[in-house]
Amino acid sequence: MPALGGRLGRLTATAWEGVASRRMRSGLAALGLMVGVAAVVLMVAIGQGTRNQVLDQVTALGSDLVTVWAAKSAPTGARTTTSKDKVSLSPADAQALGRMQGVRHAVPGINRGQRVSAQGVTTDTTLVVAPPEIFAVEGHLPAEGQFYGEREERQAQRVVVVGPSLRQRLAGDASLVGQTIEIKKQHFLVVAELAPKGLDPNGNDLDDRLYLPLRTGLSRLLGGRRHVDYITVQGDGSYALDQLQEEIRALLRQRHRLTEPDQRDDFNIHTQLETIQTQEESSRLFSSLITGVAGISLLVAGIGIMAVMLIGVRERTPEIGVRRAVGARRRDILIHFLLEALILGLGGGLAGAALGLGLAGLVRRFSDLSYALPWSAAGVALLVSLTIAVVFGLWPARRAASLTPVEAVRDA
Amino acid sequence: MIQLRGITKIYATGKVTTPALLGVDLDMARGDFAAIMGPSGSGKSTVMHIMGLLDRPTDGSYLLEGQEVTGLSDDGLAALRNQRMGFVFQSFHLLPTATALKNVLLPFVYSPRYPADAEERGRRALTAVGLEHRLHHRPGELSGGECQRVAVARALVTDPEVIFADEPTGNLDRRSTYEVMAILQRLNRDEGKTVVLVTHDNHVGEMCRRVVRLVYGRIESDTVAPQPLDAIALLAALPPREEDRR
Repeated sequence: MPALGGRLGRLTATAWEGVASRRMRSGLAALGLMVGVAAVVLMVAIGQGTRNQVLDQVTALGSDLVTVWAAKSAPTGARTTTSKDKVSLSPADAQALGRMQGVRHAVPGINRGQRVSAQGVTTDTTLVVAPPEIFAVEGHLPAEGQFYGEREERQAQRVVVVGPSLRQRLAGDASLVGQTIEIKKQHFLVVAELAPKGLDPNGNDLDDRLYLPLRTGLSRLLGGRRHVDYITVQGDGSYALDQLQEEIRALLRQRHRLTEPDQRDDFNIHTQLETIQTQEESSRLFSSLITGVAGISLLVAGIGIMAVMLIGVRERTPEIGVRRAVGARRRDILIHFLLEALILGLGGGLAGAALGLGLAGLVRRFSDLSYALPWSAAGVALLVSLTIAVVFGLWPARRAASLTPVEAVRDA
Repeated sequence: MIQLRGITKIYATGKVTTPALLGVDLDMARGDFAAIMGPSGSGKSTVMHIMGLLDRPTDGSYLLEGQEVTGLSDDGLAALRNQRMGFVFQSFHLLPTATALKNVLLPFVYSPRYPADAEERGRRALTAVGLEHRLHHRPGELSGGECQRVAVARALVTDPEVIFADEPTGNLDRRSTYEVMAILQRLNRDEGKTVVLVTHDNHVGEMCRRVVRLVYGRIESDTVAPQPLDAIALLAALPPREEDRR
């Protein structure tokens, strides 16, 4: 072994003995780092999990969808509508959009909160009034039965498709397919049940829904209404989403005779892209918040290490004196105490990384979040804790090294 | 071996300057067994710290084996302390968490090379001070006298030419004092080690062949006793200890 390496090895062993023989104090000094690192690792994991969850939900809703919402209320006094109803979108608009280049489906729809009952149970749910294309556009599959189709739509038949959450509330684990559901004193035949989809990014239960054909809804439940709340447009992939959005806007403005540039749209266009962007915005905010909190907690941990080491240097002044007396150079003392700090940083960082990864594993197991264990975040946090330990150990170590042998020995 | 000429030491704390040594000329020959004595504030510890390269003089010349050492770097002084000197302190200054053997091996941590037979040398040094049965005890499990003998072993382990002891018996009872002095006398007589110790205890002074007295930073007297007291004989004359009688 070369002379320097041999000496460094001896100093490392000495530093290790210094840390290991003061278990309580070393443990307390490293505790702050451990908690800080564990928190960072866990937060990164949960942040990743939340982001994955949102992306999954967006994908479940269909990420290639553009939704046009009606934005103009009926003039007051108009019959057959309530003040809540928007009148700017019609099924004819949907047909026109459906014929546009680059569009696969354009599906008009109305969503209503509605009281329904079956088998003696009454509950509130979201009624989705829409033609059969809605199932393809929203990516639904039947769990049981068959969705209503063009014939049921054309004939305005009294048929419905039930979501699993709603069925659970109405009939428990039993099937409702083939039974009837009562809405406004009319009976509707349940022809199918949806496969479960879970929550959307806003926390709405996509399974707590009841679908029925558009014409059925308009004529039998909504008093002959002629307008719809929204049109969901699915592109065929030949346009980018934002481009498709502009094409839709132009067509609708033309159809609604909004020819002057200063006339405002009487509709709003919304894409899933915006949902993703909003989500990424908030997860970026979350990340910088984590970074800030982690930075502060690691800073506090570093100050803790510095305080513990300063006390240690004061208490161990005679020890430092003896080491100098038997031949330690200033830099031997400096390296010795820096190594002690490094060992504390390594210990705290490793323990924190292990704790953080362990907690992340537990959270993953007992929640519905899914993410890969954040090994790289653990590695980075470990490096940061080493750096912090050395930076904050530097001052105490320099102070130890600055003692002259005689003042160190005399202090006893 | 050691030649001090015109050594002065002035401590400056803020604007107050305190002179500790005012021109000391002092030689130590190889094989000397010297006590440096004097009232407190006379500068006796300061002169030993300077000879032991723990402190630097404000002015004057220090030749160690003919080499001027006052201009050496801190690292140079550390290397000389490590390889040519041994130190014993009044309050032992052992590492409380390390075993006796680990304490004795401390100088090897800072030697240029870690000797392959370090442990063996540590055992030998502890055997030389009569503590071969205490190798793995920690300072807290040893008596004061035993602790000081561990410290003497630590000073011995590198086989230095000179041992400096600052009030080595200041914290010890009479029996332990004789035991430590007996070890130092034997090292001086049988192995030719130079021993320089600081003490305010006249009885300890009587066990040293040479006594240098300082007053107010100057040497007042430098006398040689033809027949110093033999610590082994003094030890034998003590009444037996309780545990020895049983």
